[in-house]
Amino acid sequence: MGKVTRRDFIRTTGAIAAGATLCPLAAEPMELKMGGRSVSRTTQRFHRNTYSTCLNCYARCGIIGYSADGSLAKVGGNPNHPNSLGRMCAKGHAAKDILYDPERILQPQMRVGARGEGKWRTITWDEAYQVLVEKLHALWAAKTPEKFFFYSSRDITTQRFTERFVHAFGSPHALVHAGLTNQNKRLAQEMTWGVPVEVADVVNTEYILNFGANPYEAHYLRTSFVQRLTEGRLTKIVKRQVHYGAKLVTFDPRCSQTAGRSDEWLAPFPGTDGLIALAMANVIMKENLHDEAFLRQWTNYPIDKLRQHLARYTPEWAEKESGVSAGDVVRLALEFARSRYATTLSTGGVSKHANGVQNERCVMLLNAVTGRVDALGGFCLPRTYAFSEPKPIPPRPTVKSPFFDSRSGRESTYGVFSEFAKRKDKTPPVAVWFTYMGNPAYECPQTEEVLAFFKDETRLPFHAAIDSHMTETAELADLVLPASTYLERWELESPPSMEMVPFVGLRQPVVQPRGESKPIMDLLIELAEHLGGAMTQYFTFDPEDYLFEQVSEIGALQKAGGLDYLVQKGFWKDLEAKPDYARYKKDGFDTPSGKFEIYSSRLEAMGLNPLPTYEPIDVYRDMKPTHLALITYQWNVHTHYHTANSLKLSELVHRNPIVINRSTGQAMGLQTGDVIEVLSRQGSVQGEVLLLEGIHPKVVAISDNCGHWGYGHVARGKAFKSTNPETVLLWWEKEGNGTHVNPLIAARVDRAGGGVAWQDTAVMVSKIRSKEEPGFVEKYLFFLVD
Amino acid sequence: MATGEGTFVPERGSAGHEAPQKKRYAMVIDLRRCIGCQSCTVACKEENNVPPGVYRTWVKVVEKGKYPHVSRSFVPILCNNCVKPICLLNCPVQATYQREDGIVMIDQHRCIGCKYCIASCPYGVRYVNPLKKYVQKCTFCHHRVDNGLVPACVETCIGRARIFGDMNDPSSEVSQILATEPVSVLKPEMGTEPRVFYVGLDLDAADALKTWQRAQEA
Repeated sequence: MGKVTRRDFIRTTGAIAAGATLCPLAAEPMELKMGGRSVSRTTQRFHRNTYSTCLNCYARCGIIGYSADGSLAKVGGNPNHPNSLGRMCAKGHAAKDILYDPERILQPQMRVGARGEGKWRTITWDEAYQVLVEKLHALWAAKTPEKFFFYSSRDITTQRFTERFVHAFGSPHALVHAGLTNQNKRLAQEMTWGVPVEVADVVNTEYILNFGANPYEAHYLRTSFVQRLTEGRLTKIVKRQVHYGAKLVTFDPRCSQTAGRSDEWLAPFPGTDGLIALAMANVIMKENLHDEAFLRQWTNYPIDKLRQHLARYTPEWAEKESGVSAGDVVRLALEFARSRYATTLSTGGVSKHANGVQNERCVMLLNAVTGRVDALGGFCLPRTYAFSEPKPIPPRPTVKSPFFDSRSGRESTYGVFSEFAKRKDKTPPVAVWFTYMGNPAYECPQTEEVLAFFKDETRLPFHAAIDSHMTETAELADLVLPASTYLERWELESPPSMEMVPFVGLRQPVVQPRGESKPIMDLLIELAEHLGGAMTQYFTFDPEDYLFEQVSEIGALQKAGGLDYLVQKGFWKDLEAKPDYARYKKDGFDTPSGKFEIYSSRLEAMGLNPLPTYEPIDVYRDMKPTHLALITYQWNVHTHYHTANSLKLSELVHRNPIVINRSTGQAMGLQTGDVIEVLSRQGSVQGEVLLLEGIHPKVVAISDNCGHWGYGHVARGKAFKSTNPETVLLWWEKEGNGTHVNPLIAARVDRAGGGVAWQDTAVMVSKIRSKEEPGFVEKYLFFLVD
Repeated sequence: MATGEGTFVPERGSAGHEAPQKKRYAMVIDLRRCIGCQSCTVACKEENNVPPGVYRTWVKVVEKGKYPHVSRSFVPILCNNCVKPICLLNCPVQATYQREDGIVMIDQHRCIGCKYCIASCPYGVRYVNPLKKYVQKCTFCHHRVDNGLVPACVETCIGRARIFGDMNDPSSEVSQILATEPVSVLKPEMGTEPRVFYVGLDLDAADALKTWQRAQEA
């Protein structure tokens, strides 16, 4: 059989190639030094280096803070960092815009007027603690500690610490932002192979099937990931071996930067990726190109039955539902299966649907069927270090929460918001709410209702926001506490390694905390001391002790010098460890069966289809011919909401025209630049339309990140006088700051995952007025060519 | 030395027979590697303190084709530090000058902000600093280069598309790419001999405005 020889070939060549095809990403062939230093333009003196870790997005790249005379001159990449290799994205470079933002909150603020009126009184930290202690003691006295809610968002890494605080207080309600965004993907992966996320070994691969991911603009390991992707796509000779450039095939209703630079772009209708993947798996099984050994030994479903299950997912059905031709499905399936090294990519485009968990599992199945799981150039398990917590660890409170979500095993962030949005008359189950570096008023679906909840003093009696900026949510708080940014704090990180060797990264202050701002750890430890009682036993350390404790169980790091080493270098990796593939062969998968669960017992227990299945999305099934499907996307220069007040980033993207296919738009009598209304069952928004060729004719795309009504002058697109002379030069006042898409999106979830179905909205589009000013096309930076 | 439209074969140094040659800095941008991330744009602004509304470098995003056959191209633009800079010839006060290593500089104390250079530059890469009122542009981060570092945009380039070095040194990375890859420059017909070379430049994308206008007229 052809299959066997192919597998054998991979096995024998794989070992050689393992060393050879690892591309020399970190090499420094340029004669001048690539990085690691920075020099002052005026004094020609080198800056002082502080090695740290970025947190302007989840990728957590290695950075160097370059400072002179105690202030930060610039931030650059750390060239030795094992993941980011000295490269940094636009967001990382805008660090100073966030740190030295003239609109940062630098002192505790107490509300004076009505909630949301914007009148504040500056108070001392002692006063602030007094208010908090009073409110929190009242909960203890009433024996209702579960009425304390803590929502933390963008500073993902402190979530464990905030959870410790909330649990020690006696409440189970430690809510996280991730519950709103990628929960479907995380759960799908966990139930299938026991880890929350994959690392596609793109640098060593030769074929990539990309379902709805857009790594050129956004990815959870963005800079580290995409630099290996571009490297992997080029054919070259490495150590006398040919590395064949990977072919990149992208399925995306919108021609994203990634899709536009792919070898092939195919535009399926939103939410049908799972069906395409199943049809491909079907073709591969039919042609006997599957990996018999992996399926038999490492998955929990018999091959014959799998073949039977897949038989009904024909390429023709896939064509009917998705619009991608059956011929393409067959051809790409065969190409994928016949490539020596191949992998899939998939992110929000696949899993932020009502059928998100199933979609993700269908895509994962492709890797299992072809045996690309944790293989060279394949779909790999993440390599990270686990940190330990100082003992005693507060036990999870036994109070039963109405928001407990058995799917994720924790309190559902989404559940809280949708429930609070609904219950307008009942006594609220919340008395004290903390928001840390989060902006639910802006980032939740059904914005109107969530806003109403935060404004309503009877439903939300007390709200303290801990943030560096006056976000839309902080504006509605009763007390605002100044938080230190990631450039002023101590933290430890272990993001999944792209080199397949885990490492530890350190975040340390590159400058001292500005004003009276406090790092969250210091704040919570101090608050625990003020609270006293049972809290104190869990917070008997200072932040440095906490970090020390976290890495205490990583022996090799201790030998290398522990925290001192990290402070010197910014990261640590085990130099003796070599990349190892097929790790599951040693330990199995972290699932109930120890195998890659094609048949998910967790889904079965929920009464859902345990096999990877295509479930049509009802919203789209009932769509009228005049309706369009709404999808959202991210920009390459913004992270969610929180980079919007950066001048340098908002200068590049400050508004988000509503993108519609040119033919569709012309048929409706639209022209680029016209102002249109987009209407869904949930709400309506207005904005300028941009007609592009690169989008599915039945789809409307509106980006995230724009349309702020609060936060700061820059985010709102208003020039203003400040200590920064550049803020008066803000030039896009007339253009406006775009459209906030969330009011259109209903709070619906995937039954299996509980994550929000962000991409399932049917909308109608109508023209409001013709364009007045020259439209987007005539402007800077963006051109169209026929 | 144009050999057909859009192609430009750079003149090479005489293979290093004579002892220490002058340096000639040049940049190669490998567009197969460019991901349009605008990291260079922001890195440059941070490094050189460029105020809002003006840029020393930016990445042009071009969408091309008819649905469903659509692609995107990215073209990073910066001062070409030409061998024959028109801006230099046109400066009435000789504020613009060229260093030995080819970097075109502006003496901020001489510049009177008359904008003749801006009008004459075929690439539109010069601007008046709105706060300081004199003309500025990319200088290949000369303060970094003089201290042994590559320009800020090169340091940060995620796809490793930007490559910088001395094209008079045959062993340098730029020389080797110029020797092995077909490269293009922007507007070769202007005779400026740009020293920013592109690998894989899409000519429609290179002058997108012209192409777009042509399409509108047709």
